[in-house]
Amino acid sequence: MTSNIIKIDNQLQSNEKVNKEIEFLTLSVGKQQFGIAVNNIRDVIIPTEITTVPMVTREVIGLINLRGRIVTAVDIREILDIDSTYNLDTSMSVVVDFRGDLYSLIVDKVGEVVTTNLSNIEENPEHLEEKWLEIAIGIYTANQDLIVLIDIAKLIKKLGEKNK
Amino acid sequence: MDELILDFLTETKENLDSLDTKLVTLEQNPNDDELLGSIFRTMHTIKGTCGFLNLPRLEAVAHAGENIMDKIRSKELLATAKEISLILESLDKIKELVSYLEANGTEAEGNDIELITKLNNAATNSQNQDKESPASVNDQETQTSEDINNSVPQVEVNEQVSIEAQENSLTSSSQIQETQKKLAVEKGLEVANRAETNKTEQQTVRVNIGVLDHLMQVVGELVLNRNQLVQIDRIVKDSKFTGSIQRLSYITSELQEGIMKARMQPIESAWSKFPRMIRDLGKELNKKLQLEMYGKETELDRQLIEMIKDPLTHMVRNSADHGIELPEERLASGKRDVGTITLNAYHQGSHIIIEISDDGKGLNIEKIKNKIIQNRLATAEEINLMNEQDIITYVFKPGFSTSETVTAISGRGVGMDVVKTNIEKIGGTVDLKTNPGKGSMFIIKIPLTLAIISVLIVECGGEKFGIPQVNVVEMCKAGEDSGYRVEEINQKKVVRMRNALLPTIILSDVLQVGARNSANKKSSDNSDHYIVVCDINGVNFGIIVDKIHDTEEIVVKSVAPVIKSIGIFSGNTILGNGKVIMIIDPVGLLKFVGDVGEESDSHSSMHHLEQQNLGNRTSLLIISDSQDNLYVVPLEIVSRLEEVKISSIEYSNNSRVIQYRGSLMYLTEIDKNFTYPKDGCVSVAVFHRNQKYLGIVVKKIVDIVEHNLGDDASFTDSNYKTMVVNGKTMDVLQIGDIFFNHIQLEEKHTAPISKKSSKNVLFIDDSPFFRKFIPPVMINEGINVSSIESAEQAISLLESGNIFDLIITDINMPGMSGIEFAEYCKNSNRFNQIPLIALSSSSDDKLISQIKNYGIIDCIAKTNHEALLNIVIRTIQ
Repeated sequence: MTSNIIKIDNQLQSNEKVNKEIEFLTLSVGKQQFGIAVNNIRDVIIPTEITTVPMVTREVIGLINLRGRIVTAVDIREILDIDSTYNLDTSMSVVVDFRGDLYSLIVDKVGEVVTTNLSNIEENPEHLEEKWLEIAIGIYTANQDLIVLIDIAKLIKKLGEKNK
Repeated sequence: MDELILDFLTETKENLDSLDTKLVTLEQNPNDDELLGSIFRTMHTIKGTCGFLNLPRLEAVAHAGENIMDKIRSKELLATAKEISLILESLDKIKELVSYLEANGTEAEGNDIELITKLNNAATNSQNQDKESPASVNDQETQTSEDINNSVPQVEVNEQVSIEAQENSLTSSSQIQETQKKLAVEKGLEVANRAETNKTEQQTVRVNIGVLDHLMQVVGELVLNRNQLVQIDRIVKDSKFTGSIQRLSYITSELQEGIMKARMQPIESAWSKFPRMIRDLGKELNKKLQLEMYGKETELDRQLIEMIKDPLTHMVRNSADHGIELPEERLASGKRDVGTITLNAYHQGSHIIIEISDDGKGLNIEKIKNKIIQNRLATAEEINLMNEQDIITYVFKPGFSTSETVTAISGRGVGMDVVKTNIEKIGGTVDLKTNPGKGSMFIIKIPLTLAIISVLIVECGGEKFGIPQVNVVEMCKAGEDSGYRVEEINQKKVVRMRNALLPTIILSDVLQVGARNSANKKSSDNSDHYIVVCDINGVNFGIIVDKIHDTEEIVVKSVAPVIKSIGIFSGNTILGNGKVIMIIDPVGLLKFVGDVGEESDSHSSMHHLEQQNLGNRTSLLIISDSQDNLYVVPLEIVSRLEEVKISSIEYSNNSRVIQYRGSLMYLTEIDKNFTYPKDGCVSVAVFHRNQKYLGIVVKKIVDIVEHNLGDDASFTDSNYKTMVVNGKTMDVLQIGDIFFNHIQLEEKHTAPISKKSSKNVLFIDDSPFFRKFIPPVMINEGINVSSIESAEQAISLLESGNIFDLIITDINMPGMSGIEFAEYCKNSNRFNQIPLIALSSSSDDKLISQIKNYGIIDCIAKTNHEALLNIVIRTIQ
C-alpha cells in the first residue's frame, strides 16, 4: 500500500498537481456511499455477537468483543437519519479509534481503499442537511457515485446528542 | 538524555522527597542518630552521584549540605530550626537544579556561591577546622569508607540484607584503597542505598508504568482465555487436559495478583511532601501546625496515587490556611496552641478512604450562607430551605471561597470544585463534615484500583449483567414459596426481610429490558425471582433479577462516554465465553431510580400494573352484601373506594344519587335486602364508565387480595361467575350487567350504533377476567364480540374464514404476543385491512409508538373502557 501511495505521489508530482494525498475506505449504508480516512480505521470485521445496552440512545447498537477489546457498535443510520434497515447477518463493521475508545460503524458493505489528491475532494453542497454538513469533510466523485467523506471525530461526538 | 542521568533524576527526586520528611522529623527529634545517619547518607549519595556524572554545580551544593549534616552527625553542631532551614534551603536549590537538568539535559549555568558560603559558614562557625575542599579526592575516599563503616552497624539490625550488605561493604572498603574514585563512589552509593532501603526490606527495579499497564492488559486477556479453557474443560468428559488446565488456572491467578500488586503503592508516596509543606505553611502563616499521618502503608493503585496527589495537597493547604486558627485564637478558645492536621487512610471494601481533618474552627455556616448569596449561587429563600449539609456542599461549587483575605496559599476560590471534579473523575466521592469550634474533616472515598473486580452475574430479561460483588450483601429467592414477597407502599416496592422493610427495585423495569419475552417467561416461571441485596454507603436495597448465575473475576473495561452518560453502568467486561456484559453501578442505579421515581410516579405505577398482569396476578377487591355473601371484582376496574355519608344521598327518579366529582353518581345496592343505616356512612365501590359514575353500596369492603387469574381452576363454573379465592367461594360481581341495568334504564341511551348492527369484533385476551369484563362494554353498544384466549386461536379463526370488522388484542400473552399477532396480520394480504387495537395495562408512549409500526391503530389501557369504546365505535363506523 505504501509503495502505491508513493507511486501515485510521484505521478502527481510529475503532473505538478502536488497537494496532500488522502486515502480512504469506501463503505455503503443503504444507498449512500461514505468514505472514512484509512488512518482512523483500526479494523474491518464481520460483527459477531452484539450485546445490547439497556437505556442507551438508539444510535448505539451494542457492544462487540473484538479480540479482547470492547467496541461500541454505532448505528450510522440513526445518527444521520438514513432511512434503511440493516441485516446484522450481512453487515460489516468498520472499527475506528476515537480518544482511546473503539467504535464500530455498522455498514452494509465495505468497498475499497481509494487514494486521491485532496484537490479532488469537492466541498459540501451547501444545502446538505445540517447534521450531514457537520460530519462531512467533502464529497468525492467516483464512477458516478458520490462518496461523502466523514470526519470520524465529529461523527462520534454526535453520539448521544439526540437525547439532549 | 543519557540513561545514567535519567536514572539519577528519578532516584534523586525520590531521595529529595524523603529528605524533606526526614529533616522535619529530625527537627522534632534532634537526637535521633539513626535518622541523622540516614539523612547524611542520602545527601552523600546525591553528592557522590553528581560527582560521578560530572555535575559540578549540583555536587557543590550537595557537598555543602552534606558538610553541615556531617557536623550535626558528629555532634559538633546542634540541629536547630536554623540549621534545618539552611539544609532545606540547600535541598530546594538541589531540586531547582535537578528540574532544570531534567528539562534541558544539562546543568544550568552559574554558581551558588552565596548559598554555599552560607552553608559553609554555618558549618565552620561550629568551632570547626575541617574545611573541605571539594576537589580533594582523598578526603572523599576516606569519607566514603567512613560512611560505609558507619552504616554497617545499622545494617546489621536488618536480617535479610545485612549479610549481603556486609559483604559488599567489605569488598568495597578493600576496593576503595586500590580502585579509582569512580568505582569507590559507585560502590559506596550502592551500599548507602542498601542501608537506605533496609526499612522496606526489598530491592526494587524501576519499571516504566507503560510496561506495567501493558502487562496488566495482557494478564487480563490471559484471565479471560483461562476462563474459556476452564469452561471447555468442564464440558469435555475425562479430558486429559484437566490437570494442566487447573495448574494453568492457578498460575494465571497468581500472575494476575502479582501484576496487581506491582501496580500498588503505599499512599505514603502521595503524602511524603506534606510534612515539609506543613512546616513551611506554619512558618508562613504564623501558626503552630502539626501533622499526623495514619495508615501510610495503605496501598492503592499507582495511577490513582498520581491522580489524588494534587487534590490532597489542596485540601491539606486548605485545612492549614482556613481550618486552623492562629495560636492566640486557639488559646483563647481553650485549645492547645498547636493545631493538628490529621491524615488517615484505610481500606473499606474495595475502596480506600482518606480523611483529612483539622482541629480548627470548623466551617462558619453563616459566612458560607452570605457568600452563597453574595456570589449569587442561590437566593436567601432557597438557603432557608437548606439544611446544614446542603449548605456545606456549596464549598465545592465553582467560584466559591469564604476566606476574607486571599492568601498565596489558598482562598482564590479555584480549588475545591476542581478537587471535587478530579476525585469524581476517578470514581471517587468527597464529603465534608464540620463541627463548629472543633474542626472539619474531608472524607475522600476512591476505588482501590481501576483494574480487576469480582462481580455477580445476574440475568434479567434474557440479558446478563454484572453487579460488583463488594456491594452485594446477600441473595435470596423471592416468590410465593420463599417467604419473601414483593409488596408495595405508595408504588415503591419493598420486601419484608427479617422484620425490616427493604426498598427494592425490579431491574427489568429500570432497564426496560425483555419486556416482550419476559411476559411468557415470568408466567411459566410462576414468578420466581431472586433478590440481590446491595449495600450502598450503609443503605441496603434489593434488586430483583430473574436469575443468578455465578461470580466471576473480571477485568473492568471502561465504556464509551455515550454509555457512561446513562449513569447506571460503571463499565463492561468480557466473560469467559467471550460475551460482553455490562457492569451495573449500584450507586448509579439507586440514584437513577430515585430521580425517575419522583418524576414519573404514574409511569411506574403503570409498570406495576403491567408487572402484575405479566404474572397473571391481579388484585381483587372482596366485598360483602347484607347476607355476608362475598363478591369479588378486579381492583383495576374499580375507580375508587368511598365512604358516603347517608345525609349526602339524594333522590332522582326514585334512584339514589350523590353529587360526586362535579357530576351525579348513581348508587345501587349490592343486593335487594340491603338497608341503609339511619345515619353515618356506607361503603361504596365507585365504577366509572362512559363518563358516568356508578356506586355500588356494599355492606363491607372486606379485603384486597392478590390472586392468580391465570389459573382457571379457581373458577368454579365455565362462565366465570364464581371463583375460589383464598379457599372461599365468591361470586364475581357482574359489573357490566349492573351498568347495563342501571345507567341504561336511567337515561336515554345515546350510543350511535343501533342494536342490530352487524359489526363483528374479535377480542383476544388470555385473561379470563378481561374476557369477561371487556366484551360486555361493547355488547352493550350492540356490537357482536367474539372472545378468544390466544392469538393462535385467533389466527385459526381468521384462517378458517371468519370475518371481523375489528380486532382487539391484548399485548402480553403467553405464546404469540399481541405484537407478533399484529405482525402476522400485517404480513397477510387477507388480514392486513382489518383494523387492530391493542390493549395493555400500560399505555406508555413508547409502547404506543412501537406498536404503531405494526399497523395497530392505538393502544388503550385495559381499564379505560370509555376510550376503548370510543375508538371501537369510531373505527368500525
